[in-house]
Amino acid sequence: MAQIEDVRINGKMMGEYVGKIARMVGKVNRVVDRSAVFTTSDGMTISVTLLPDAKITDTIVEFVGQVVNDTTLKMLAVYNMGDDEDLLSVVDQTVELIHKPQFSNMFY
Amino acid sequence: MFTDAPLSSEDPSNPIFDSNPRVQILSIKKVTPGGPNPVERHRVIISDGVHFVQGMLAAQLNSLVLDGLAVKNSVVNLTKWAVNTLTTQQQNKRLLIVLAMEVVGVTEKIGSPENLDLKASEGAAGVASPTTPAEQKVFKVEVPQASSAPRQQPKPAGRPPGSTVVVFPIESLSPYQNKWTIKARVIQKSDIKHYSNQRGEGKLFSVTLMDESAEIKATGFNTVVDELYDKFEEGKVYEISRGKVQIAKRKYSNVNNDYELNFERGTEVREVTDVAEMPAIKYSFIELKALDQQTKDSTVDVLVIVKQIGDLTQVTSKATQKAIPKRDLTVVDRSTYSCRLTLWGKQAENFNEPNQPVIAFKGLRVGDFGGRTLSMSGSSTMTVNPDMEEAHKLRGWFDQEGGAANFQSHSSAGASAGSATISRTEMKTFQDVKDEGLGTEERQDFFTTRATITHIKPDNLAYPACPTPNCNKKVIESGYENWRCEKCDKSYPKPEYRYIMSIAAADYTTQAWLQGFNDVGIAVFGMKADEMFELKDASQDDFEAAVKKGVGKSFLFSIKAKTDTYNDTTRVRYGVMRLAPLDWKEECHSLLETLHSPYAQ
Repeated sequence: MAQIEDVRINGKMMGEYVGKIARMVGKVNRVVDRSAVFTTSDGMTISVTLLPDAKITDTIVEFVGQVVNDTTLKMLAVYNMGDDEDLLSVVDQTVELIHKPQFSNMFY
Repeated sequence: MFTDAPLSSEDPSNPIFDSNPRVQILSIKKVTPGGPNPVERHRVIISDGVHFVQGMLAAQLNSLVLDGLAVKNSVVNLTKWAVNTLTTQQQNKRLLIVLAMEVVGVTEKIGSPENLDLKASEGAAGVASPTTPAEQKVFKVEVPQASSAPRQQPKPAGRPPGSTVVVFPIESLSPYQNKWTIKARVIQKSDIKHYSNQRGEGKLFSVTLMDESAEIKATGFNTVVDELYDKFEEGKVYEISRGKVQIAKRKYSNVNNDYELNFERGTEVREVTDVAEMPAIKYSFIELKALDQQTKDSTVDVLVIVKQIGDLTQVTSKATQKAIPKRDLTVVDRSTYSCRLTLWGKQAENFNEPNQPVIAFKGLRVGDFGGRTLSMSGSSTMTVNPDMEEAHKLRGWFDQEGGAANFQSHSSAGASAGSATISRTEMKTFQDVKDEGLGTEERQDFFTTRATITHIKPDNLAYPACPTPNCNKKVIESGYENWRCEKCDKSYPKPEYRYIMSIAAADYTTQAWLQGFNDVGIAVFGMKADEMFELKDASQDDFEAAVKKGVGKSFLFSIKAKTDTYNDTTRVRYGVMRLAPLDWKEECHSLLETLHSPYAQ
């Protein structure tokens, strides 16, 4: 498998990464058929198109997927991250910092 | 002239004070008061030809006497003067304080003056209109009265007939006055303490007294202990008189008063039941967050929740060689700061308050032992779950949020393994530590760091130790199943193994070798040293695997850096005083905080 370069983003950054692979940590509100209603780490609600065998066991998950548009993510993989919702604020702050000019060269 | 009403009045606007009465000095006597810097004073008897009164010359007039200008029978104009009243049990004595005067001449004794004070009628001494304690000063204000009419005044309610006692506010006490009575509540009573010094042995006890004006410490020694110790009860109000007012020995007390009282054989103590005006203990609480603005050894009051109660430990006083019981509490308050608070002696032993109580502490001593610590001292008081609004609010806050809140701590690593805590404000990297040369000079340095174990030296992981609690000395095997401890003078069939380990740990800067003791071993390996040894006996492979498992674990380390000389090599040793597992959330928050701070911009 080729090295996939994925970027950690939150909801509001989706518009900039349309078509790219991204990682998003957030809370799964509910699963409806083949998609999930998902709250991103910065509080936006988006829709995630799920793979058929998606195993979602925890409230907080990280999705790796392709950004379809600024409110939809097409899932490639999911990682369960427990149920502690306090993590969201920590993650979000980290994501913001990652994208700041002084730090972004450390990451991408 | 002296019988005129105004002499009795101290009201400065009274016209007589503007006049310059001409009087005669009947006698002058030198008085040298005791104390560190005695200034010569002169007692005088001043007459207006009809009466005489006692008086004192202000020190600035000493030169007049020394130069011979003011002598017996001098006639003078009093240009500036005031009246002091001294009250004793049955008598009312007034003193005329001369602040400035002009000598007019000398002549023989004029008239046959009589003692003004003796004119007081029987049983009517005292203040005519007692003011409330809050307004009272040393000088009492009397209502002007017609001359030569026998003075009467309403007896203050509740007094036994015959003794009309006037109560001084504690604030007014000074060594210049020895005839006073105070009415105060005992807010703290110490145990009887024994001491010995060059002059022999003795015992003492002390109480802290409080009224609306101030607080003061009072001590009784030796025989007085027997007389008075049982008379006092904490919380009750007493009238006290005939004690000695002395300069406070700040070393032994943290009560806020320049003076303190010495109870003597003649000291009178009377319990008082009308306590309507007596205030309850007054606090001025400081938030734990603000402790670092307090200087070391200052005195504070705090209102806190006891989050954690430490174990009772013994500390041997280097001075007296006695073992003193000690207990540390972790206390927190709404400023979301936590602090270590130490109890001593009986209080430490008897402390057993479950359910994280609210406690109001008064008179705690602030220490700077690793940040900031609080300590109970001889005159501190502790009130559990006080019935105060702030206490209830604190209880409510803690039950709601405080229980789960993350507290910032003022205490960084302490010297003893049992009481060290982790301080985020004093985090350093290993590189910092080495650059700053922590521990290289004579003293010990403490720091906290977050690091990962990279290597554990497998040999010499533990030593056989004395099983007596708190002993921990290495025991020598002197026979089969016979391990002897020199310190306790006891033998045991089996020692208790305790870890002593050399660990290589690294953070993102560099690596350092740390020394860990029993608690470190248990945290790293997850089992006690005895179990590790059993495992080793059972299977060498399993044992090595267990050791390897410790590698890679990360902790918060609280470290003491000290220079040691061991067999000719002098090295800085990093001893782990305490370690704590990482709470990732807290670590993240802390890192984020740093990133958001100006440091990272």
